[in-house]
Amino acid sequence: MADPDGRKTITVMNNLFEHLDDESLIRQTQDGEHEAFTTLVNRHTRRFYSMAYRIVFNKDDAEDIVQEAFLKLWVKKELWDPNRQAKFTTWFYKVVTNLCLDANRKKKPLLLSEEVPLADKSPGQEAIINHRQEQVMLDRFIQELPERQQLALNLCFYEGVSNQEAADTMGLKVKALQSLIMRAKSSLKEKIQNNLVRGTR
Amino acid sequence: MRIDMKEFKEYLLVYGADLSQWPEELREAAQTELEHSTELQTIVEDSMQFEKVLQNRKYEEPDPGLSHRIITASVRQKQIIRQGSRTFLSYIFQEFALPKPALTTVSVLIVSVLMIGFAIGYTNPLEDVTNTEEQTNLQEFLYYEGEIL
Repeated sequence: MADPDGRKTITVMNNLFEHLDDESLIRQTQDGEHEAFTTLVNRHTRRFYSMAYRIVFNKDDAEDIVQEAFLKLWVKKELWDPNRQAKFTTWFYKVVTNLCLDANRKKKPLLLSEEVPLADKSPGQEAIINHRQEQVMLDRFIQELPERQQLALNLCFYEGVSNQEAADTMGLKVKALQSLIMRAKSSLKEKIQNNLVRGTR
Repeated sequence: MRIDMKEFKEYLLVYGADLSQWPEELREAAQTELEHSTELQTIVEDSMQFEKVLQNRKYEEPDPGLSHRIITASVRQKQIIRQGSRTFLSYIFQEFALPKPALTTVSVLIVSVLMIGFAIGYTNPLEDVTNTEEQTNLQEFLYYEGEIL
C-alpha cells in the first residue's frame, strides 16, 4: 500500500518548486535536485519545442532537440553560469537554437513542394488544399530568409519574446534585431503579395 | 510626440499591427496619428491581413508525453552516473545486445560453421603428407648427424 505521508511530502515538495523562479530552479538543479529539473522541464518544454519546430520544420526533430537540450542541462550542470547568464530562458533559447541550426546544417535542405495535388475538387476540399498550399509556400518563403532574419522573426513574432530578450538571445543590440525583423517582414510581405494574393485571385 | 508616416510603417513592422502591444511611449502618439489619417488606417488593416497570413503557418503540437519522456531519460542518465563505470559497461552491453531471435540465428550459424569446419578437417587426408615430411626430416637429420660424426 502506498504511503500517504510520503506522497504528501512529494506533493508539498512539488508545490514548493512550482513557486520558484527559473533561476532558483536551475541553481537547485545544479545541486543535483531532480525535482527542480523536473519542474523546469514541465514548465518550459512546450515553449522550447515550439521554437525548435519553427526552425527545423519537423515535429520529431524538434522533440529530439528539446530532449537533447534538457539532458545537456541535466548532465553538464556547469553549463549554466549564474554570473554570466541573466535569465534562464534567454540562455536556453540560445542552447536550443544552436542545436537546431546544427541539425539544419547536417540535414539536406528541405524540399517543400510548391504544388499540393488536388485529389478532390469539391468546394470544402479545395479550401483545405488551398490552405495547405499557402502553408507550404509560407514555410518556403520563411526558409528562404537569411538565418538571422528567420531567428528574429521566430523569436519575436511567433514566440512573442520581447525585443530585448530576443536581442540578448542572438547576441545583438535591440536596434540590430529590429532591423532584422523589419527586413524579414518586408521581404515576406512582398513575396506573399506576389504569390499568395495573386494565386487566390 | 509626433510620428511620421515612415516611422509609423517601421514601427508597424517591428511591433505589429496591434497598437496595444506597442511600447507605451509610442502608443498614444500612434493612436492619434491613426485617428486622423485614412491612409494609415488602410496600412494598418493591410498589416493585420499580412499578420493573419503569417499566423497560418503550419504547426504540429508536440507529443503530450514529451515532458515525461525527457524526465525519464534524465532519470536513466542519473542512474548511469551513479552506478559508475563498471555498470556503465554492462548498460552499454545491454543497449547494444541483440534481440533474442537474432541471437538464436547467430548462435545456430556459428555452430553450423564450426561443425562444417570439423567435418572438412576430419575427412581431409593430410596424414600421408605428414609421414613423408617426417621421413624426409629424419633423413636430413641422419645425414647431418653423419656429417658431424
